[in-house]
Amino acid sequence: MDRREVLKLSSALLGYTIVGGTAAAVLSGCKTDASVVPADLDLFDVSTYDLIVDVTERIIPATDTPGAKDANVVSYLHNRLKNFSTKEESSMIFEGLKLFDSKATAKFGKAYNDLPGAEKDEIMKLMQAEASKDDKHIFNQLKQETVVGFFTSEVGATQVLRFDPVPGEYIGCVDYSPEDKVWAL
Amino acid sequence: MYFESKGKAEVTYDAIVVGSGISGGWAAKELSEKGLKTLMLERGRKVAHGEYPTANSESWEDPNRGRTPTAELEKHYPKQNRTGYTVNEFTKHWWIKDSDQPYGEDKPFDWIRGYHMGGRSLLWGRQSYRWSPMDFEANAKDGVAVDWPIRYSDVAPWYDYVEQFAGISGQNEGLKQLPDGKFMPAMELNCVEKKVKSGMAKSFKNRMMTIGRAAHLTEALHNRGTCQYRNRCIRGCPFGAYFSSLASTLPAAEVTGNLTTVANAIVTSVIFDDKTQKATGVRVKDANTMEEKEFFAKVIFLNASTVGTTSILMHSTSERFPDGMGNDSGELGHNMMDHHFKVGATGDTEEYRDKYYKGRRPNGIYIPRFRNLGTKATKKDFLRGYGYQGGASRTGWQKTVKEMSYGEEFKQALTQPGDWRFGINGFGEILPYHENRMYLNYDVKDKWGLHTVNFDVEIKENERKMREDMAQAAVEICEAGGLKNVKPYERVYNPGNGIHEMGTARMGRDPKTSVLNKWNQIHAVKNVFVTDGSCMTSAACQNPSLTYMALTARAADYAVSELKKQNL
Repeated sequence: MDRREVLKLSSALLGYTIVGGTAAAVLSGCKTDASVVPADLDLFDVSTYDLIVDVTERIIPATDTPGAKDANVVSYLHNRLKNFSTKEESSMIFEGLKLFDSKATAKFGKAYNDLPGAEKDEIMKLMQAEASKDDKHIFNQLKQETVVGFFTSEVGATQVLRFDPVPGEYIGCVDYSPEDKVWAL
Repeated sequence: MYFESKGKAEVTYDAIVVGSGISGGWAAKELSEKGLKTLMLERGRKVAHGEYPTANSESWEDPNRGRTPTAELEKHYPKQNRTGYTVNEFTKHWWIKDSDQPYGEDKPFDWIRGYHMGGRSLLWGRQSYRWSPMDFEANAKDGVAVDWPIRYSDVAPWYDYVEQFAGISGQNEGLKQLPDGKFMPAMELNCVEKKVKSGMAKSFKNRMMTIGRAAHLTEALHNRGTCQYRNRCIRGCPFGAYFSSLASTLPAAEVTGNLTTVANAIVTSVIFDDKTQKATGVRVKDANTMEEKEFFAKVIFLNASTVGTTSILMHSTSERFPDGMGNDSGELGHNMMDHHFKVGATGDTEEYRDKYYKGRRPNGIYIPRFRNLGTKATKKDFLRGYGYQGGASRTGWQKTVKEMSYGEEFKQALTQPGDWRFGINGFGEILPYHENRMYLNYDVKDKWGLHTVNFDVEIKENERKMREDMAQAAVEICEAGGLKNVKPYERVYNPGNGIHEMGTARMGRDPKTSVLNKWNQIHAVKNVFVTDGSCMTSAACQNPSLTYMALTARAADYAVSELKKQNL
């Protein structure tokens, strides 16, 4: 039994779900087939969960710094839908997400989640091309919310941006060079 | 009842202060420092300085990153959230639930408030400007409403006094429309603010920019720390760096040993004695137990906020005052004012991409009033004027993402600041219109059995003309500052949204047309002082809290001298 199986099993046995923090970091890098959807993300079935985890990670990938999966952006998106969207808005989002599968089926004859990474990226490019002409496109909404979810997360704010909770002073004009980063707060 | 066990002496003080917000805190400090046994009654819960549970919370500590779910907002905070910034998971404990505290609106009116020890002194915007001589003279000069019974020279020494205790940072500029004060070192302007400032100064003789005068310590004072530039003031400041009753006036009052504070004490009315024609005390209902009590004192300060104080007076009916205590003039509840805003302009610049700032300054820039200053050049087709508040910053990761792609480059781009943006928002004077009023709704009671309040307030032609000018002049300023993409904006302003409600128990020279005299005493009940926003005879365009502080300290000084002379 590998480490990932142990984690999945123990979470099932203990009746809680492993999201965020170390567990997500451990799980990241694994393939997303046969995922366990964390119990509190009850709006998502397995394929929606896998789709969102994959797409958001492609929007903000882990590089030398953490990415969307490390930040558990999928959980943020779930709560966003659950607590802030009307039924109509929510069903429009789920309807919009079907675009990934319909494009994948049309181009490669398979659901998005079943494609290899390079073909998934082809679909992402098609989505981006459509979105550039339509502000309200699902892809733009996903990008927008992924950005918010990522940069308001602990890893996003503290490891990807410059985080300074108690500046202690205000200096109106300081030099800036591109190696510096935007303030998290 | 309370008396049966404790006896009247136990509930008798020299002074009672109703309310613990900005003006109540000052009343408690001044009265207790001058030796009066003082009782402060606060209708909300007890909070001590430092009890700010979210002061150090980060966004990720909340599953919704601090945003309060829609269903909860709609159920409990539909009016409190009308500002768009007041209610979130890190602040909601400071605001009343509309579901518990209903009020009525004949026309839209935003009554935004917090009931707890310290009141809105914990939540205020902290901008602190003196009124000028022209503000106190304006009603008389324009023939509007009634004349102020005081002038700038009456208040000036009290501005000096309260500024030095409260700790106001700012820059003296020698302007007649915005008098200098006793300031701590000013906070800095940033690069683009300086750019707009110098461009504006070249183009306009009467317009200038200064850093906001703000009640934040830039030097240590008493037991309070300096501003740490976190800009999380609205959650409560663990450093005590901005002025609040909890950090500033109440600790000073407590060291005298003369102050008693009681929380959860809703004052339902002021008790009037027909024989002496004086108030003898107040009736109180415990917010939790509903137990009723009475407290007695020689002098009573009402500092329950404009609407709260006016409502208490309206509930204080007697044979002598069938329409509410002190309401011989019929003006009680009338002349409601606020500051109208949400109109201005924005612009951006591609310059200074190699410049940034450090720290989150809880303050912005101020462009003092430049209309109707008594010269032909400044005269407009409306009365009074407005000032602008605003500032410049670089956009962060919130910048528009739709035109960008996704992936590594996208992520990298979001870690860089965007271009500089500058924006200003006008705050304009609203005239005191008799027909703009609050009144008691005898058909709807709250859960404590008190009549609820209805509002019937609107802005009129003078304000509408002023708003046009506020948008246009803002565009001129941005353009003179060398900004690009300059755009005016105007959003709907509803009265109350400025959270500067004032004027419903105005001061005046004549008891026939006003509620309070020049010492903030009710004309016909001299031992009741009203020194919160309800006392205001006009609104000027400056943020009003500093003036409430000065008037309160002045009135408390007078009250004590009158007590000593046995005149009260």
